[in-house]
Amino acid sequence: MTMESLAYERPATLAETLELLGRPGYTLLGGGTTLVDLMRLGVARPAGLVDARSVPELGGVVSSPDEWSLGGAVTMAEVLRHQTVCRELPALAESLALAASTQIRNMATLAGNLMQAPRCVFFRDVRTPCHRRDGGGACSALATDIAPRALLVDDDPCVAPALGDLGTAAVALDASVETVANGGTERMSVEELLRVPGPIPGNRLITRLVVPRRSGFSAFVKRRDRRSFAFGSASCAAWAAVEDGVVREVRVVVGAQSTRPRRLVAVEREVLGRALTTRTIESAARHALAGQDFRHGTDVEGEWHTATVRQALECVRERSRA
Amino acid sequence: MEVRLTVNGTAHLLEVDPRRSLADALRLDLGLTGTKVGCNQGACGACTVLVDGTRVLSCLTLVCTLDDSEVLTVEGLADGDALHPLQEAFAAHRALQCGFCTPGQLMAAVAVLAEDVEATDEAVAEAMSGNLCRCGAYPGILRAIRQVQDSEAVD
Amino acid sequence: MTKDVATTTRDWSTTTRAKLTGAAVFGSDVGGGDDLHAVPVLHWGPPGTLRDVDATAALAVPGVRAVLTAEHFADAVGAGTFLYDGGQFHSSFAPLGSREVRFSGQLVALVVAASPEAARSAAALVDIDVAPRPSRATIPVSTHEDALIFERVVDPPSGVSTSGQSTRVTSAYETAPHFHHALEPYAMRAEWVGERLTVHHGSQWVVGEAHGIAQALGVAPECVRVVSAHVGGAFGSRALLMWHVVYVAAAAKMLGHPVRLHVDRSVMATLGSFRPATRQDVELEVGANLELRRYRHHVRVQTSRSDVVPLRGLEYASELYACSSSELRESVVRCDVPTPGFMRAPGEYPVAFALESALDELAHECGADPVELRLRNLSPCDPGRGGGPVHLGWCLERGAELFGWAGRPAPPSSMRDQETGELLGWGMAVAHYPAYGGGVTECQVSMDRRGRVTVELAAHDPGTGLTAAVAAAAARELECSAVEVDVVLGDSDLPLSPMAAGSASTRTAVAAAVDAARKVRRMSASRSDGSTLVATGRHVPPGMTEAGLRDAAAGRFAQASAAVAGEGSPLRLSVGAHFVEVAVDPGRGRIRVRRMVGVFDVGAVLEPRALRSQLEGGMIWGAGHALMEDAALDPRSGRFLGSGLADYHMMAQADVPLLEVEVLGETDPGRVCGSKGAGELGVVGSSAAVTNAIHHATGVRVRHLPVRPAAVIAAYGGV
Repeated sequence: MTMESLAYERPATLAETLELLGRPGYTLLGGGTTLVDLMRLGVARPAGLVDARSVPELGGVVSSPDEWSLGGAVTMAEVLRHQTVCRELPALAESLALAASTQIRNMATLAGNLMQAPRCVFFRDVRTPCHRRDGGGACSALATDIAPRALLVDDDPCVAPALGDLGTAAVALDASVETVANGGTERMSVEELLRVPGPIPGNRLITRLVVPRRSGFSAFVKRRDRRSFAFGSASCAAWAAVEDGVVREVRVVVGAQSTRPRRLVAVEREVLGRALTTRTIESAARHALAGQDFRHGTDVEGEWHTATVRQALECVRERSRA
Repeated sequence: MEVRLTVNGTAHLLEVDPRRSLADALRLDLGLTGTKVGCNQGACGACTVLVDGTRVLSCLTLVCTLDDSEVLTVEGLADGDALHPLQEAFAAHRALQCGFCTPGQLMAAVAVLAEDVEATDEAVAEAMSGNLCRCGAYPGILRAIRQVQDSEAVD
Repeated sequence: MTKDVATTTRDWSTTTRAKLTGAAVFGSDVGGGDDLHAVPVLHWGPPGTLRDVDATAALAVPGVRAVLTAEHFADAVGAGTFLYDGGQFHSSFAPLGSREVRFSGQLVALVVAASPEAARSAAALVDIDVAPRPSRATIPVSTHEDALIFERVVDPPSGVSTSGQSTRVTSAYETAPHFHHALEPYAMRAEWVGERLTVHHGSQWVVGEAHGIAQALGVAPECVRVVSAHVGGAFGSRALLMWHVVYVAAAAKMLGHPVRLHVDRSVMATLGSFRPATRQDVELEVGANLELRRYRHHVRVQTSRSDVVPLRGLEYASELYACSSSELRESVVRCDVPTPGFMRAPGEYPVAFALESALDELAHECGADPVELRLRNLSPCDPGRGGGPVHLGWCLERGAELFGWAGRPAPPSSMRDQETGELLGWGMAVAHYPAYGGGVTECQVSMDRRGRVTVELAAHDPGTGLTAAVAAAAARELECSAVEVDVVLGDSDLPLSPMAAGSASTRTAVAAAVDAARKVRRMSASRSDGSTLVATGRHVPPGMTEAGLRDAAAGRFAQASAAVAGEGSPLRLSVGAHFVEVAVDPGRGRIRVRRMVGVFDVGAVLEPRALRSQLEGGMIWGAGHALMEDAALDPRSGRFLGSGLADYHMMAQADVPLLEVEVLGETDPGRVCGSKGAGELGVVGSSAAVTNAIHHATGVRVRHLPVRPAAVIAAYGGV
């Protein structure tokens, strides 16, 4: 199907949205910051665009005593304007504020950002093989020596880094998404959602991002060669619940140096039950590569990754002492 | 498909391909070529315009999504012969060389003034970092915006 | 003379006002309702032989008019001549001239449709089948494929070791390939009216392009008009004629419609040229009292399989310092890449990075202050002949004073920011650029009975201030206000102007305008009626040869050298000194340039506001070249792995340091208008000043650009 028959629909209700998304080749349009780009490159060739940004279920930032519920069509900028969310969830706010530019944050939606397509040059070129885009076959990035690739990988052949900062922060904050399909509403953790790259099985629509409101301290850090308007070369989000000076619960997640937001369980284990001191952080960060498949990385890159983890934990420590 | 769009105060009824970007609609359909396309990939900011008061990239905005919206482009900044204070400040501070990124810089700057960006060099520089200038006229751009920001604070 | 009282006295030119209001029309802005829209199709795989271009699916897309490949252009487009073979083309290799694919990213087809959307949609469906061949895109370590293109050996050492105390450094440096990425893409429009073609696009050489297009299309030069009223950034990217311009013109003829070409950013990189990568070896030696005894510099530069593009940076850099023994060599290495071109200080930038880095290493080795080392070794210049680095000593001393260099502790890693804890480092380097004589420039000036002045010439103003400088000069001669002067330029139908290159076009344009304006002034003294006075002016730079005059008239490149009085005489240089402060934050993995001071001698200042911005822009380029710019090239396939602006990073507003620029502004009697040029000067040496500052902050020497913060911080010893 080419785009020549491209339809544009702006449904008002969730039911209508689901009906439209059931049509062959129809796809959800959020801010368009990735989809329009990929359409122009011929990578995405939808038959219809479903602009669900005015569906009430996908909008709004609402809170209950236990959680924040952010609409999937809420823009990154809208969240950044929400002072309470930003105060309570610094890692989330930082992941949004450090992403892209104000113009893009004014357009891009939370659900779109979570499901962000890879930026890999081969994914974006329809005439070059790409395992991810083609749903199989070779990964062209592995055939070159210098293509940007994730350092921490799984068995999946795609080595494109997870550059969507929001996903990394969301996993650290133990966030979930609410998804809906004709079968009804479901909840799944963002960690699970992003475990395997690509669209959600069962054509499910993300309606909301749900973030628990738990007392703790969080931070998101990102390293890049340009100070602004750049993807990360490494990123880390960390969250810790601290009681009587001791870490009771902790989540440490890396993004840009990994194929997916990835919890570093070995690091978490070293921090758990200890006071968050510089020494604890130093020795915990040394486990940043423990149990990881690091076959594509160099020593310098390993140090860079480790230092990023240390930096995020240091930031959490500072906040826990403030 | 049909789209009703108000651009710089003038209402238009456009018949467009759903794939048409706002940038191309402005430039090809309405002849408003002040809005520039520098990359057509969302990576340079040259095509920045305001939609309902919010700055967006017109190259990645499909015009079909903008039914009943109001668009402000660089052509709508001056009031007759009287330039917008930011245009005056850009001229005074030599905030441009080739001028190709200038419309986008100006529209981003208009938004910065409305966005409550902290009146410091660092905050404004960060808020303006979505607009690349290959000539490197950045120091003048920053001085111009800071001057208008400060003068508005006094008013 | 009658003055127009309604004239505004505000302090900006009409050009600036047009750019600020969106009224300025760039080449990519021109179009008409009945235009067809074209997009290029590139082959991003490795080079080889084109077996097939299957356009079946593309042609089925509604609105598509044609998918044009080599076979369609076989009769319509002939050969083009490469610049160094006496032509105007950026490469002798015509991408749609055969089935040969010489580099990754080569143009293989042009899709033309009724709308840009249909053209893009179809372009993605064109199927390209290339039989690949083995290729190598980067400069190998081994030199056995090198071709020596420049060699100058002066008093080589006898082989006996030099007596007394001496210090020697021998280092290897690498610079990355770069993209110009002027913000205006290579978009264009071609329209035929009868037998006459008009091309609108951003150009640095409308006259040359018109001749080149005419040659390739087999029509008379006067049948082609190239218009480039505003240019959305140039930097050398639009200096030469690119092949897609010819194909779009031919397509417009074949299809009987004006054709507009749309060029999205990531396909732009390989349609034109780029700054080639270099590998360099430098050896320097000083004696006990810091005098330079030996300078050996070998530059190895990428070129394409099709053409040899020399850098020619060594002969100018070697004018800066006095040294009794020198060996200078430049080699080109054929690679499977597009033909490189000129990017802002093409030869001077890479050569200065290596030389100024090596000088810093030498100063560090012998415990000397880097400024002092340079001051001790400045080339003595003969004021009578006026060659060499006039006023460089002043630039160094004034720059050191403005920057506060005197407080610099010599040992690395000895300064920290008290508040942030960042490591601080101070570095410096010298800037230079040859003051070329420029090209033959003609101009027409007219003045109507109301005193309104019009200056017309083919020249180009890609933001360099040429328009304002010409207006001011004409106004001065005709004793009117600059706002009463209209400057019309960027059109090959207007009086002859050279390529905007070599930081020389503002002064030659001003000289031609002054010549014409003086004639008008003389005519006005004897004018009896109210007729409009018209005169033509001309500037022929000293040293321009007879052959050069013929070339210029025929639309070929002809530029007078930087030599003061013909070949072999001393070279005249613009010079300057950069001083840079960097802050390195090992804990946060960040290196930033915080402060840059640049002091320059550019001769007379023709347009002060444009000059300052140009020099600042050059310094920002240097910082960007040092910290981020890298046209990452896959050595095997020759594919650029990030040609868009999200991947190829240039400095953004948040990266820009505090900048201070001071200019000597002393008229240089040896150059026209007393000016030596400034467009390219600011970028030269500034990257070395940054890496020298990084060494001072961390003790880590960076010899390979761009800087990898991970590597610097790891070498420093982590946090």
